[in-house]
Amino acid sequence: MRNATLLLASVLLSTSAFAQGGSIAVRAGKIMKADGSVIDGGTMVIENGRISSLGGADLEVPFDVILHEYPDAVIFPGFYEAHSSLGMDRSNENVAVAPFLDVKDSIDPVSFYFEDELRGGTVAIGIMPGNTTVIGGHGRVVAPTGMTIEQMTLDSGMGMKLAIGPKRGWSRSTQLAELRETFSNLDRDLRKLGEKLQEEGKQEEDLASVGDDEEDEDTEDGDAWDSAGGFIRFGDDFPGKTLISEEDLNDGQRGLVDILNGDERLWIWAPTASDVVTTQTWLASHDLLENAVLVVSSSAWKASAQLAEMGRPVVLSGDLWHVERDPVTYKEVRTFAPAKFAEAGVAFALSSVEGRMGPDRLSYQAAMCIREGVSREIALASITTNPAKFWGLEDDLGDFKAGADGTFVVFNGDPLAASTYVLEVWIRGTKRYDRSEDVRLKRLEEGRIK
Amino acid sequence: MKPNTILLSAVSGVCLLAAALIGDDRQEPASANALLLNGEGPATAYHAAVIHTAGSAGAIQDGYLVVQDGKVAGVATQASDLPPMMNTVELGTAEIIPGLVAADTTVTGSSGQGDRSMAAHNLAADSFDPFMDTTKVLERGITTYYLSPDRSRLIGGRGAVVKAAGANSMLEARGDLRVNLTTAAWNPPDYFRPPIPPTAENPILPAIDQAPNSRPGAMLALRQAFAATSSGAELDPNMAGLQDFLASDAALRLIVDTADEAQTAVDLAKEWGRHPVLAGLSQANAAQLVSVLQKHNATLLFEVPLFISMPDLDANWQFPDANLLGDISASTPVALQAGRYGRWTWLLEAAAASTGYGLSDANALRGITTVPADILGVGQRVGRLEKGFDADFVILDGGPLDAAASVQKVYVDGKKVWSRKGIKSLKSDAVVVRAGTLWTGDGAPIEGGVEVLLENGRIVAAGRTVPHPAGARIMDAGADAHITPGFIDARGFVGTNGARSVDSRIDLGHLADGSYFSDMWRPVAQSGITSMVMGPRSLSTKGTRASVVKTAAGFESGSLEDRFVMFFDARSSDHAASRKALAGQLKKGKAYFEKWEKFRTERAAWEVENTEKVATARADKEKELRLRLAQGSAPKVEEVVEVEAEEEIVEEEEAKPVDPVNGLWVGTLEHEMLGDQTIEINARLHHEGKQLTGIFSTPEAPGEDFEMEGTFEDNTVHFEIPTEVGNVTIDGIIDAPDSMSVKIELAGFGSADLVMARTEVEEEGAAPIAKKKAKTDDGPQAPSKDWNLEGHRAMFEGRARAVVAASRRDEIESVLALFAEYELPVQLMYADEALEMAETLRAQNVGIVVSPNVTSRRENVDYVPAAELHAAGIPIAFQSDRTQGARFLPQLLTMATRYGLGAEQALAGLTSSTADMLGISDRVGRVKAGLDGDIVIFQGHPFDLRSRVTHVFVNGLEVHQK
Repeated sequence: MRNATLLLASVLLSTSAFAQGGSIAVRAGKIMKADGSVIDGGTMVIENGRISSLGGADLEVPFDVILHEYPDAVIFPGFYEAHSSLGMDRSNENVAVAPFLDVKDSIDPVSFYFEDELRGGTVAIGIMPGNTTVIGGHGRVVAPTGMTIEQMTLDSGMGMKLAIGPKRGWSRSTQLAELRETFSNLDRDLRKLGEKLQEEGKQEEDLASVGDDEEDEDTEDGDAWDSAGGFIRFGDDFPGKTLISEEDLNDGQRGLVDILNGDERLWIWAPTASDVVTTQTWLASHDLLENAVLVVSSSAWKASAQLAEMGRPVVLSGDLWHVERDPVTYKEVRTFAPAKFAEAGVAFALSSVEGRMGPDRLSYQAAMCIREGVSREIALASITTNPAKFWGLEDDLGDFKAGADGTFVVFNGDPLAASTYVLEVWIRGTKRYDRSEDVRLKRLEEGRIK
Repeated sequence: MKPNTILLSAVSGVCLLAAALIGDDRQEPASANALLLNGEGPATAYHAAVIHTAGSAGAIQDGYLVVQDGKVAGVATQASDLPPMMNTVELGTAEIIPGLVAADTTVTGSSGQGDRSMAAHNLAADSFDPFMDTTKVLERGITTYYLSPDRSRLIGGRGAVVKAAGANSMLEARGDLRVNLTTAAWNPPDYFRPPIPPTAENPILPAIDQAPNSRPGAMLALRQAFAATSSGAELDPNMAGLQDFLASDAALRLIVDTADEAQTAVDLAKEWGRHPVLAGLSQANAAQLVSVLQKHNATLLFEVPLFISMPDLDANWQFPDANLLGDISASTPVALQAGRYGRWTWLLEAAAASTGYGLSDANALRGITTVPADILGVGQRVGRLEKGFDADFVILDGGPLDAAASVQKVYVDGKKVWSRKGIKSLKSDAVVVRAGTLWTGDGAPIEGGVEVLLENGRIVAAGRTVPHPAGARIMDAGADAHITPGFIDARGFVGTNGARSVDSRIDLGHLADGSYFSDMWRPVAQSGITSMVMGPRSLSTKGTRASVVKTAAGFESGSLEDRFVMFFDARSSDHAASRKALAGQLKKGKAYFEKWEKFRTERAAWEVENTEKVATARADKEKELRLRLAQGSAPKVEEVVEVEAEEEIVEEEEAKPVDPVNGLWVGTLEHEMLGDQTIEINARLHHEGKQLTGIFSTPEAPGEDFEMEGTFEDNTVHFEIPTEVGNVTIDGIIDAPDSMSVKIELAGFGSADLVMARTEVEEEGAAPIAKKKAKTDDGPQAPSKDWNLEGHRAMFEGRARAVVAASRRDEIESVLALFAEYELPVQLMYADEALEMAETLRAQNVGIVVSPNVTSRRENVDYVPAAELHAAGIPIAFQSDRTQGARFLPQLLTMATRYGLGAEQALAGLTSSTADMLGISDRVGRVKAGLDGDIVIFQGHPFDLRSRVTHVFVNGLEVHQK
């Protein structure tokens, strides 16, 4: 019986492409949802990669679905990294304004980063270009498992990276001047383009009125949409504006137009409090407030009021504490930024900090928040439902609910406890990580495998 | 006169009289300068010694700055010009200046520049950090400052102007255009923006090599840019920014170093039709610069060379010419900045230094207030203290150009935004006293401007100038003021009501300590007498020990510890008897002293021996232990013989009553005399029947205890101690078990009540406790103290000086011989016939404490005996010999100076001479570094009838007038 189960499992695993998703049922000692509420002896049924039902020990499991039991374990939705620039070969290009870039071209699926994240229980990562840029390019949400980018991708429309906090070596006035200049140049180019199209349009009319009556056949291709006019939907009118189609623009221009049209979610790097204030002004001037997610550092706690006013979500990157010296007494003053955000009612997501033992795990960051007085619900939300919400994927990711992805992590205890570790990770109903088969861990714990 | 005229004048006279009589309650009718307030909110007037308006009104002495609704409502020159019921803040000697305006700063950082050589669309306002901590800026008195765009680019961008505090701090977001014509702007990086994607029509071009690499290149680039803006062609954002600037009325700031760059700059400005602001120019050749500026209408933002650390400059770098600014300021407004080697916040220092380059004081102040405000385009709002301007002002404790002045408070928009008082690290009790003349106590005074630094209760420095520690208070007494050491009264008895009997056991000094709050002492201190020897009223041959007491100090520092004066009386009708008695005292004293000396040497020797003994014993033990270990046997742990405490069967069937009074009693004495401090009193009492013995001590003075005999009857304890002040009685009633209410009455001082609690009950059968000192070790023990002879011992040890009253010649001779025999220094008191023995006195270095009647009459002529003594080379000291009379002593001496007593001798007799005679010259008596901070400030010559004492410092703290 057991061999048959294994056979069936391996068949399922090998044949199912990532996107299809598997079907299983799980019963665990505890099933903890993203808000921290616990179902003792909970059961969850996943069909075709989506959660179909969730309940207690008495939940009925369909007959054709294998039941996996973890009587001592805790099942949790997993950790979600809202914004990261790791896992790529380089995080930024030298070119400051590069809206044509996409992280799909630089993500390295074999990178150790993804393996380690999976081992730690992270199930989805929002990969974005780095902060040393003005307009950085597109990002996407990936799961840290898979051999190709396509296999990894959960959502390719995460958004566009913008930076208001200055590039290394630049001042903020230079940064903003560059941004302003970019959009001014775009404006100028569009006007020229509009003029040109108008000219061409007139020429065609002239030709048509003179030449043959053969009508061009409209080709039935999906690109008809691309060549339709009216692509520019922002700004003042100018002659020829309605004639411009997506095809007429080059890659760089297209990216900028998408931003200004409001079609792109903007992930804006605004580390300090004064950057937040500048960002607020800039977004308001382009009427892009609804699209923005701010990526800040701990020093932005001083602008909590402005963030609350903007009502936009915030990703806290880097250290959670802000340390500064009082200029008069020279005493160090430490402020815990997430507590300030929580107080002000700002929705925030936490980030792990690369290279530091402890903060490199999202569970540690959340646990630190709880220690400093942030409520457990908010702390857990900042590593689960909030990132999913910021990506626009709250229906699929972040929590256990009907219709969401069948993605969960099996822990041997409370997910936030320091002594807890990950036993298994399942993404969309297929097991992607099993600690008992983790070769690297085995090597660490048992020595060289003979 | 015609009747009409008479009538008219009568009527008018009556009218005037009526008006004068009727008159309303108000003050005199408002003068023409009266301030009218138009605002809504409450108004406040700040009354300062000087108000520097930096405007047309100049500096107003003793003026009132009126502030309402965050703006200056006006400046009044006298109180009567103020509207009635004005809330006035008195600032004393402080001065008010407008909030300083920094025309150039490095707040936005000096790095982080873009790669464009000409970036007219760059806005410094984008780099503004509203969360920046401006404490360090306000600390220097700066309320408005400039945000700089890129500093080392040909066109850096548009500057901005912000306020250091307040709600709406951005005053100007699009300010001046910064153009750098110096070599710093040369060789900018290449500009590279590749087209993406590159196509055949739009290929990747090589990076653009940007201008300038030379001055002609810079001028060419600027001219081309200017031409582009007026060509009407499509402009890129950079050129659009330049056009934006040219259309506005913002200033054109040109950074230049040398005079020829300045010439280029003014030419450029002329082409652009703008008024140039030339910034920098610290390396300009003076003559050339003057001629350039005189021909053109320019403003100069001068870089004053100030250095924070050793710069790396070669020989080509020169300081500007000494009169550079003087020549320029005649035709050109000059603003000041602190330069690239200093900190931009050093505006006050820059202004002070600029006067060294020829700028007048008034222009120096304008150079950091009105002129930079005009340059920044906010000259209609800040920079001046005139009606309608923002109420941004700074309170200084000296003049703005005074190197010692420091910023005390800063106000922005009428609100106080920074105060030095709140900053602990800047607090200091240091006081710098400035005056015209300093009498050190030795010889001729130092004239022409002097300073004394008092810190931590001592005189740290005295001379023409002294260091000014951060946070020091500066007291400028004026050029007519004289500083003298605090006066020493060689014998006075304020607060003791005179002494009747002689008993040197109770130290009068201790009783009188800490009485600075008392009304008796303040007038004495205020007259200039800072130290007083608390002598007994009546003298005796036995000798009375007196302390030297400060006339205004706290309990702890109220007297010179461990220094005494021993007063003896050798006057009598029976000279032989008094001589014998005095000799006997000295003999006893010497014997007592020798007993103590013997103890000390024996003890010291014993200690050395003992330490060696203990060390060798320990070494032996260690050796033994090691031996045992080496031998392998377990070390024999010294068996600790455990004496099992046999449980004493307490046979107390009959509850024996516990003795109510035997044991250790503890209480805390509080009295207004002590101020905030309290004394803990421990008393070990033991009675046998009615006879009670008590040993009183206090933990604050270990080793010194008083033994007293008293009575115990009916739960009442009674001690009576005769002292020179009178009887001190201690009455205690045991009203509850282990609790006693005690009343201490000091004759003449009042009484004190305290409650004592018994903390230790004396064991049954314990031997009487009196006179038993527990032996702490087996070395030599200290002899018991005989309070009658402690003073004598101090004399022999050199801690006390003897002052012997003797009048006749034979008395004087025998005293001198006696003390010479015992090799003790001695001073005489009264010594009427001393003049005849001047040589002997000089030989033995004996001085005389003269009678308080400084002026005498002889043959119908007033003369001063002390002067004659001094002329004979005999040191003199003055005493008041009075309860309250001490405060008249300086007055007496003033009169004496009119009768032959030199001012220097009078002063010496009150200060250095007395201190030398009494052996306390290492503490008081002179204005010298290291001595106690006791000084007196006179307005005028110390012994001039017209002079007054205006300030007195005791132990570095000012004695306050009531």
